[in-house]
Amino acid sequence: MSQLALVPQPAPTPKVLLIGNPNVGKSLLFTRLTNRYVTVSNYPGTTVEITTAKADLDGELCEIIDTPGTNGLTPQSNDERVARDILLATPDADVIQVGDIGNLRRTLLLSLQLAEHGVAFTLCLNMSDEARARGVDAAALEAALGVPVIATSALKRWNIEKLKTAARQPRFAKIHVDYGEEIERAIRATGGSRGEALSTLSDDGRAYAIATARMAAVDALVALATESQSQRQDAHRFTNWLGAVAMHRVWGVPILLGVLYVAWLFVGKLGAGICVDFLQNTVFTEHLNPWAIRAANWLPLGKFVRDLLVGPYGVITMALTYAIAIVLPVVITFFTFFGVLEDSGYLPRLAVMLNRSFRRMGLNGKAVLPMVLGLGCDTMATLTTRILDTKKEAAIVTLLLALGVPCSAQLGVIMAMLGPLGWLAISMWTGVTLLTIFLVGWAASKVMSGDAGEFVLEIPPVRVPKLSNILIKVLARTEWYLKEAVPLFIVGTLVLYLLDFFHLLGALQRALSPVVVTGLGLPAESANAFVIGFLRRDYGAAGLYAMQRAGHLTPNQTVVALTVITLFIPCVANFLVMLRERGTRAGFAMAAFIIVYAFGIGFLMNAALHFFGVIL
Amino acid sequence: MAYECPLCGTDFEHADCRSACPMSRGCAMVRCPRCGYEFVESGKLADMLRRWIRRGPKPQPAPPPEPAVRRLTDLAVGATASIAFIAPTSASRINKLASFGLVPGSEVRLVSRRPAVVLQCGATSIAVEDEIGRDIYVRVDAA
Repeated sequence: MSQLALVPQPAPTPKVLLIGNPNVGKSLLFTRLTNRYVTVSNYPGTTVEITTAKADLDGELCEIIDTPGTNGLTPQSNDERVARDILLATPDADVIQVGDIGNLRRTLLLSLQLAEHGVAFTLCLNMSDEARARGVDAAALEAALGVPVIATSALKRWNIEKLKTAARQPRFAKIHVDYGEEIERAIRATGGSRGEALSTLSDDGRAYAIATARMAAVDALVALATESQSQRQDAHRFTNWLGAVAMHRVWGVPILLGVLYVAWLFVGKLGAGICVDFLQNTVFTEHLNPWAIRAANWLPLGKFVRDLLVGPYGVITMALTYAIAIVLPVVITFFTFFGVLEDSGYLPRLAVMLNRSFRRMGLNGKAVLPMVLGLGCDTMATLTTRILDTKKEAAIVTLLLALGVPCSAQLGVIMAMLGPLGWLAISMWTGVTLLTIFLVGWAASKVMSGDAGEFVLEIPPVRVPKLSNILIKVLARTEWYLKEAVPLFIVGTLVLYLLDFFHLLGALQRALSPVVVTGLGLPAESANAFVIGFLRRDYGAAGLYAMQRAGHLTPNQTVVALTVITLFIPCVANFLVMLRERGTRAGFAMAAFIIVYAFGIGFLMNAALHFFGVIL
Repeated sequence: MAYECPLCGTDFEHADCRSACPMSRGCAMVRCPRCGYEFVESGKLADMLRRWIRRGPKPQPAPPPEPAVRRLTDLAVGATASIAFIAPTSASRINKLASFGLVPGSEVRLVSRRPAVVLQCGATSIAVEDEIGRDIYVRVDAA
């Protein structure tokens, strides 16, 4: 049997599977092997979806499959379950285990479990460019373990070719752990593979004994492969100090405020201020739109088509102007900033800082990643709720994302509109939004059944982000945004245009006027913004922005309108993802709650402003 | 009432006041008849200040003998110890901690206790909640 497995099977396209702990540079290695980009990041568990690509390994075209980072083959989360399922579902694949050379203990713990599952593999010790790699003897490890061991650096492209060759000749590891008479008897009794039997026993009260025996075997291997005292982390490095300060109970707070301030400077001032001004006023209003209007007038087009392109609800003059001039700069600057946070290792530290507050909302610190990512794109963030341990947490985060977390596109418009109104208006909007997140989260945690998972989170070392890595990531995410948002912008404009063309817009505005005019105290035309807000709330916000610029909204009205549109469902795409991830019933229930809540808060704010006679 | 001047050390009986002083009655100051130094004999604020200034190290009870095995959260920040056992609450918790290398015998260093318990095990840093930190028992080596 083992002789057969050494010979590559004559399959149509051989498969090569990458498996490894989170945050060991697996995604970057995948890129190096395939010359194709996937998201590379520092937060444990970001690669939720499975990526595959074709690559030439040792003269043969193979399909390379990347799996979510996993700490073991007894799955503790959905990601880990996915990784194990893929491994067991593709028994003919050549497996490459990717590990951090500076963390042999964790790497070999996984190797041991691969061996127990009867998987032949090649061990790739990645990150060998880092100082921590010194003193690791790959040859000694290869001799002790019995599988090919290649020390690589995906970052510096060391030994990638060597790995490509070795990957096609995986071997079975020759390590064997004796778990003691009782457990060994139980393993024999199941009759299945040793690994599966151990997984079952681990969930069945023997976790303690199995884990202890495994670790002892791993520690013996680590001792063989390293020179004594060499695997010590350099405690005096600046980045280590920074990493500790960022989650200090006192100094962590000014660092968090500093990060927020830089975010505001970069996204708010540079993105939403300077770039939007330039693109909207100079590029679109002064040059592009007049040209487009002249061209449309010159071409032999009917009034219907001409207005469709360049009229007040035109695809070029409205949809593209909003998408490119107002929203795109904010999206790009936000994702650049988020990329830096992600790659530097700050987000897990933020999770440590916020764990206690999140506990009150029935969540734990792990929910920080989807919540912060939601400030970029709520749809993307709703997908990443898969990294959370329990269904209850995933449901609460989905609701809070849709309700209270404005995405970057919308945030940009909001900043631009609130900026000139002064601090009272800004703090009213911020206060209502934050209070909503906290109170609704708290209430949801009481209403929903189930438990929040336990907070156990790996803190990766602080690393200086690589500019090229961030740029590629920003590019990929912006492309995603353009594909996702621009078509919806155009559809929204078409809906408005058709309503206007058939003189239905006025009727719709009159129909909504009890809500919009009487309830929220807004001008009737702001109904337009809410109509397209159903498609994308950032587009709705952009409509409000245009009204404010034209002087049709008082500061009071602006704050009320912005709060309602912030609490609204982010966009059609987000709604569809909600239905897919949480089920139809829960999805519709959440949407109904959000719409009622958003308008209800708007009514209350309007009434309160009137009652207290506040004029912003 | 007997006084001792804190400046010149004279012992005297009566705190004689000058009748011309507008505060001659009901004031807390005492005047030394020899050197004329005025001082506060007693008073709430003065006593508090005095106690605070003269505060020495408080008498402390002898430290209890340190137990060989204690909770991880009872370690001093920065101290290193080896895991003795983990309270068996749930298999999933044991498995999760084990997948990070946290099993009996592993050496851990307590990096911080707040806002969450952060510990270092080999090259891995892990943050856990208080409750989990309290359920990990460690043994501090005598050396």
